[in-house]
Amino acid sequence: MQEHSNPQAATDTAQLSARSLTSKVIVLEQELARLKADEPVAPDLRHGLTALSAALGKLKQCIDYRPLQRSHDGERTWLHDFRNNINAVRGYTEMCLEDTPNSAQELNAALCAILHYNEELMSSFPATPEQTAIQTVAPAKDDRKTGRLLVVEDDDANREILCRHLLKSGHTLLEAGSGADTLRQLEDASVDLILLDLILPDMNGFDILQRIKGAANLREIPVIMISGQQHNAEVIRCIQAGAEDYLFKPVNEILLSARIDASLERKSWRDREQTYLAELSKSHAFIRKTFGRYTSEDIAVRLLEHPDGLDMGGSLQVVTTVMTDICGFTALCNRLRPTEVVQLLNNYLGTLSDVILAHDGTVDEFIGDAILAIFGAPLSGDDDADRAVACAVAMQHAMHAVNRKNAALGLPAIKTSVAINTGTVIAGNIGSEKRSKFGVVGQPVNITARIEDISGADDILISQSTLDALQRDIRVGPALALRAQGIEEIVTVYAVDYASSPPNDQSTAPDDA
Amino acid sequence: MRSTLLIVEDNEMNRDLLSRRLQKKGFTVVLAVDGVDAMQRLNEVEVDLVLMDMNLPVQDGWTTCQMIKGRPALNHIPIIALTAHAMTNDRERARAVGCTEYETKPINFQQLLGKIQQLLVRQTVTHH
Repeated sequence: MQEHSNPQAATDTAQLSARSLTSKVIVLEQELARLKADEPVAPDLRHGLTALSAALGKLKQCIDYRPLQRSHDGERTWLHDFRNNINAVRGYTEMCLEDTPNSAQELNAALCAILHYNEELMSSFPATPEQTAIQTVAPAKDDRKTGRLLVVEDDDANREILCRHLLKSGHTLLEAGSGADTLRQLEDASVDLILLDLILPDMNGFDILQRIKGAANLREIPVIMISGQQHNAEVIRCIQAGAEDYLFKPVNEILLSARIDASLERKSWRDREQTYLAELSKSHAFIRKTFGRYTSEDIAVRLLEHPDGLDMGGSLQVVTTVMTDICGFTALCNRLRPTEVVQLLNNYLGTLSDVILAHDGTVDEFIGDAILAIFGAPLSGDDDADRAVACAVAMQHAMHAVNRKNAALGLPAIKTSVAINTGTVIAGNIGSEKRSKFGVVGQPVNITARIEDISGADDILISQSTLDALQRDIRVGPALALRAQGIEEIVTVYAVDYASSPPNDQSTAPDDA
Repeated sequence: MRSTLLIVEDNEMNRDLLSRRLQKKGFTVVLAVDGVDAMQRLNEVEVDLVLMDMNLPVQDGWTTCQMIKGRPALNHIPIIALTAHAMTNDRERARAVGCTEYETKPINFQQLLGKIQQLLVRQTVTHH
């Protein structure tokens, strides 16, 4: 009894023995039913088995309803009841054993098991209330690592022995008796460590190990293999397949405890590392998603790789800005219902945004029906102007898709105009720490807006500076001089002749699926 | 000749259990559920030995044992005390109230059987 110096451990052991007993009740009932079917059972045995069933039930009830408030008298009364129940179980079992024919092997085994668990249950409780009193002031449990352990062992007796020992160490236990059972339990329970018997009735322990190590969600769980075979080759095979450790039967309890402690310690470090990594990737994903709404995935990734790009404040950069809007939008708004206007806008802005992102542009802003897109910021490339023009052409071609969708929704067909200008702007995160937005400011942006003002349906107008910045030759119409309000210089613009260029390469907006 | 045993036990399962097992061993069994009931049975039937649970309702085993030992007609009957408590002083107390033997629950049936047979033999010897 000294070994149960921890009252909690004693109670756990009792619960375990009680559970084992209860499980034997089922076996008992099955055996009884089978005996009845097979041959006439001796009346003595029949009575004994029925009585034993009842006694087991009472014993279980007694364990389950042990008073939590342990007054001296209450404990004494309970203990009296407990010992009476233990006595009944022992007596009936012995009696049944005497009456059971040798041929009924299963029944004999079940009865022997009951007897065994019953004795254990008894010895897990102190003999007298006085001893209980001493035990309640037992030293506090040391702070060894405890965890949820899955014990995989097909032999009931061996499993019980393992479990009992592990329960005493304060672990929470799950049990499996077969490979299928193991995999099923792993599916719906989180486990800190697995003790795996190498030989199971339905599957090889080695195969289960491989299954565990091959599953992304289970891989991290340490597995300690247990086997009766003392083969070094087998040990090496399991370690190579990812087993944490290996123990031979009969399992040395001290060795087992040490290995479990070490494994759990390692796992807790790994878990912490995983949590940290998960948080990191979560914040990365968040940034990517937030940026991804405005820039292409590619730019978002590059920004993440160069976090300096996220600093508040700005820098002077040469960018090509693209502006589009819907021709006659104000008039459309008067004709359509608000919900229809929103549908139409979403269709137009959504389709064109995809085209911009496909060309590595950044959607800077939606201004009513207008889109302001930037090529060359936050990150610049040599072909910013070329991509901007290609994007504009693709957007005009994408209007077919927009209008097909509009028609399907019973909305009118629309046309768009595009203006493109290149110049030095201030680019950066504008706003406060809490709410900031990447954007560009400067005269070139205003000029783009002025060009957009004069552009008509299906037009793509580019400024002289954009034309100069292009690496590839494009066909443009005659130069037009634009003198706009608020802009001192005269801006030369050209209409891009895109009608002849086919809806080319990746620039075409995907048709609605 | 079959010996007659009086089993005084309030716990139904244990009473049933003990009576069945002892009957199978060839004893005639008389049952009582408490101390008062036990005294009544002893008045009605000639009993060779008493198995007495000490923790009984109505009138406990300690008092009942003292009453048996206090009656000249009954005081030759050996009593085996049965108790669920394993207090060290229970054994002394049992002897003090006149019990010949003492067994704790859960009962070791073979041991109990041995004690019963021993006491019955001794009684037969002293009687003749």
